[in-house]
Amino acid sequence: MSVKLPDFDQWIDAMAPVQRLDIAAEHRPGVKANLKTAAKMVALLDKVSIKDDAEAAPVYRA
Amino acid sequence: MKSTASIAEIAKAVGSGEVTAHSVVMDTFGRIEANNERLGAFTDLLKDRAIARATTIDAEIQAGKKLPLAGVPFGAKNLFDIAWLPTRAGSKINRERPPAKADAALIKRLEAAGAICVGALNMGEYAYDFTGENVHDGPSRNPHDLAHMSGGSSGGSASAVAGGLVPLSLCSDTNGSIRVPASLCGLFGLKPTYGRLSRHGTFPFVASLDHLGPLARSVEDLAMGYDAMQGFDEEDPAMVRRPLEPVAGRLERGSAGLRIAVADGYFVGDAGPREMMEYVAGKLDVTRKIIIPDAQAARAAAFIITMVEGASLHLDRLRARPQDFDPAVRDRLLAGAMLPGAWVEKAQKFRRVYRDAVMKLFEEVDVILAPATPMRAPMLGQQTAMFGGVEMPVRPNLGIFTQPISFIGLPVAVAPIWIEGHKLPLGVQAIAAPWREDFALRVARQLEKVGAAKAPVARGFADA
Repeated sequence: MSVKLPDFDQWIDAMAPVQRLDIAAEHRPGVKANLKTAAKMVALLDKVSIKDDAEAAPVYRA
Repeated sequence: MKSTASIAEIAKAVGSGEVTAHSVVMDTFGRIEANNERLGAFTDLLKDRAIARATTIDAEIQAGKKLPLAGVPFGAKNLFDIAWLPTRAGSKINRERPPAKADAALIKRLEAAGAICVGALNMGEYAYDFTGENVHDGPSRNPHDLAHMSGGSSGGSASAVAGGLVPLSLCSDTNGSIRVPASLCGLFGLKPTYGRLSRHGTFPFVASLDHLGPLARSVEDLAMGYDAMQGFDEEDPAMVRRPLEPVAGRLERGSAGLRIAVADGYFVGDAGPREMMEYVAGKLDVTRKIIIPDAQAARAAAFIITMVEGASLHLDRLRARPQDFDPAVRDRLLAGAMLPGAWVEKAQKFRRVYRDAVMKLFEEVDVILAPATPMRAPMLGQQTAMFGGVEMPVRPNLGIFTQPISFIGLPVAVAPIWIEGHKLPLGVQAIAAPWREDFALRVARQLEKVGAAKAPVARGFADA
């Protein structure tokens, strides 16, 4: 199943001011490419179902 | 001492008074001065400090002190604090920081055992790298073929050891930064269990994934360095209180009695790693295969966490001076700063679910084998390569086999495998359950004993 990807220019235009980031025109293609990779990654993660009671592991202890 | 001398040989010669630590240090700097420009390994040299330290060690040996690493020279990736140096972490921005006030905890431990820090080593900017290329300091190069990548981000650490400058280097590994250069430069590497070795006094990247560990040219050397670095340190909040569990005395058991399986499915890879894994399985007489469930999702989750935690760490610097970053690092961090929080939370939840599933596998096996990288060392500057028949960027994809493992903090020993007909090595990961570094190292030692794994000083850098 192919993943429907968002409009990455819109994404940057919306989020960069929120984070007080100035995305220079010459940096934009690289940032868009990385957002696209991240969106594909999260699509892989979304294939896994996680129960409501799953607890996060922000500092992992083996 | 020759460039090929092992840690055990140096420590024995210096410890017995047969050779002075001072002469070891002078030989080391002779080699560094002759070869470092070609290798791009060291960014800072500590000659005066190392000579002073050697003089102290020689006096201590004369007075009868026993030091397990007497006179052993080593380098540290330049994200380790070294007193009086700014901790640059491969960046331009950090070199404006004030000098570190003290050495990192692991440098202190190695030096307490008699080793001598001779300098700081090149690395990919802020450790967000698998190539060993650095836009500010130039690339660290693969000593086995200088036109090829060393791998990263601990690139200088690998160049220095494979190039015979030092027998031991300190590295970090967040997603594969010890294991990728070990594979590409043909070295033994150890990424211990998350929480095993103190990270105090190092510049972080992704705190919940950051590990430290050594690279060396034999399993014995690796174990000697690792054993000297063990021990609880309350300054590292992720450290777990464990007794010292030295491994050097356990290596000769090899793989006897260990249940070993080869990771199937996601970890099969292209022809190069497949051929290498068949060779390794044959040498170890392993026929069992095992599936690590959801490894692809684990890699994706590690990727997301890295982008977001990395961006969070560098957000102020990204706002103030984005032009001063390595462009490849900056663009990933900028994107990471704009990802939804729910993504990273899901990744963190999945981490525990995945951990539980993998721990079940360790009820049936002791060690899982998988390739360390999907290919041998790419050319310097190479942007893309074929992965599974699809052309993809080299930089992020060098870590596809390492990320799902460090994601849950498992200990891994990498053994470098040389196959006839290939001019460059490819590493195998021996992956064990948490706190069983000994199992992983015993399998690496078995591969070394049967002649399948070796880590020679590269031709052209070895003394005659």
